[in-house]
Amino acid sequence: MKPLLQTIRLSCGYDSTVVFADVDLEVHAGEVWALIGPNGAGKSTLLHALDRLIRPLAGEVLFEGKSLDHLRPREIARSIALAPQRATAAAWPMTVRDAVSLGRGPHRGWMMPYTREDRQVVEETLVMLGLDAMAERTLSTLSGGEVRRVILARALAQQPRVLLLDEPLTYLDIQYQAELLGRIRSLARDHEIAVVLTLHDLALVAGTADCVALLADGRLCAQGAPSDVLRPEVLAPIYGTSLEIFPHPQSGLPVVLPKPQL
Amino acid sequence: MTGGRKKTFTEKSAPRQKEDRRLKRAWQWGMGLLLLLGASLMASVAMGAVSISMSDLPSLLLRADGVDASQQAVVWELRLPRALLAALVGAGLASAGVAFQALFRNALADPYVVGASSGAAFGATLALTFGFTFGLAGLGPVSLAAFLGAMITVFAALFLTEQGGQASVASLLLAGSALAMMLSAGTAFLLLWRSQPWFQAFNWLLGSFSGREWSHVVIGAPYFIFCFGLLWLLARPLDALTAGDEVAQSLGLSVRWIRIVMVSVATLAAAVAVALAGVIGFVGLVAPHVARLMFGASHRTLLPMSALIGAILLVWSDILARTVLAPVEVPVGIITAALGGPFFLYVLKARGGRLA
Repeated sequence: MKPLLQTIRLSCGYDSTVVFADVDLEVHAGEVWALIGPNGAGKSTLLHALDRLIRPLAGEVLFEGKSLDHLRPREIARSIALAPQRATAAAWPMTVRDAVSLGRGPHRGWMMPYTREDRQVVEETLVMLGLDAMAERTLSTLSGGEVRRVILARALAQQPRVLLLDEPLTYLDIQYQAELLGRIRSLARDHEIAVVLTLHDLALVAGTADCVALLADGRLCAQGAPSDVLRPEVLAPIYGTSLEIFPHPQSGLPVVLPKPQL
Repeated sequence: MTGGRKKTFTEKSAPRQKEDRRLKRAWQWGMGLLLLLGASLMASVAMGAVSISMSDLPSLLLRADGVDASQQAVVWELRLPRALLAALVGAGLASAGVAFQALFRNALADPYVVGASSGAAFGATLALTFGFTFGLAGLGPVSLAAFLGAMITVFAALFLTEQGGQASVASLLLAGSALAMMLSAGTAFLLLWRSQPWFQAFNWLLGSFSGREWSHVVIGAPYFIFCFGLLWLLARPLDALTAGDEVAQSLGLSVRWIRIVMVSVATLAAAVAVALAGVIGFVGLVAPHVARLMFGASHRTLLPMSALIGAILLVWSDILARTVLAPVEVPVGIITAALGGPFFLYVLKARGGRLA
């Protein structure tokens, strides 16, 4: 099967500093990928490169075999959506519905009024994320977790083929974490979406993702199924001995927890 | 995701009805404000040294037969163009303010703070002092110099504070304020150097509609309509920009180009306003805030509402400017500062010291 999103010897950085180099990834439709790595390893940078928010220093990103270099920003936005980590949107009294409706912009053209279909997609997305009751509230009145769901809803309203989520679980309490993880899985399975998300909490990785990519020391150190990557011999060189790994009692998937250092 | 979705909406959900109500309410408010603007223009025409009764007003405005010729002249030659110009300038400054606040994601941004107004005033004063004679695209030398002055100042502030494609908004506003102070000092110096009477200098630095005629309206209107129209067409990209550069870019917008176009258009509106009426502060700051408090932050609604509120605010400010110390005219900027300043501080305090 042809990968939906692929990177070929991708190198990214800012000015003259290289953040990572020679990253090769193949993400297929229906897969959930978790990007892990220590702080500053370039997880968000890689996500930005996958959405063409930054130009790579070398190498390229292919969507359905076509280089993002040859796609217009709006075409990319119709297929690839990013839910960023931080929400500056809360600064203005924009309503939840207006914020989510922005996701329709790349489909409709920015000067056209929203159509019936756009409104319907927005309503369904609001319902799906349990935001319909607060659709008329302004972002500044929402909690951190609610704002996160609005950001996700906007990305979903783009009806993307590839969904990029930057730390989607931050600020969410455990109930919404569980709910969101379930939703991400069902989106990938039922709608054949490829999902790439960054996670800093390694305990959540195996239950979330089909595949894991470990970014550290400026390169992709390991990739594969959670049980292949979440191993002491892979993680220890990067995270040191500060973690312990044991199989989940029911699923047998590896669970990674921090080991308090004395 | 491209496949069919399970749930279809056959009837409007409760939130949808709420949204429709909101739209209807916005329309009603818009119409109400339009009527209020009409009434304000009437009031402006009726009030002044020569008082005109409301009952005579319709026939004077329609130039019916048998009306008093001197009253007709006051209404048609003096007061109507002046009131209309005040409305246009108010709407232009308010639209520019909305755009600057959204572009810089900062509640304190307005044409004055980012340096557009003072740049325009300095340019216009230079043109007047040295008698420039060039023009371009229907802009006379003064308007053109005002526009160039405003553009150079705003882009200088942007250039001075940009680092690696990212402009720090706080330093941008500081740079804009510093440039504004320098240029205001320069404008005052030029005016005094050429021995302009002090009140003329005041009129430039604080704004005035004294002696404005139909020709000013005719010059200004196309620019304001163009600027407002373009900003309104770009209302949704403005929405996206307030959600953050990252979001706007991932939605397929070229943040850089939108910034350049919007800054230029908003600066043009501010520059034309200054060229026609001098530097008038607070309208571009206060009108967008009032509109945002009343109608929310969606720019499709926010832009026209701000423009209407700005127009009404400036028409009334001009009425006061003509009447408080009559027969002496006060520069209108004193009135807008006196009205807008306390209001702004009140809003700031009421919202716990922050506007974001």
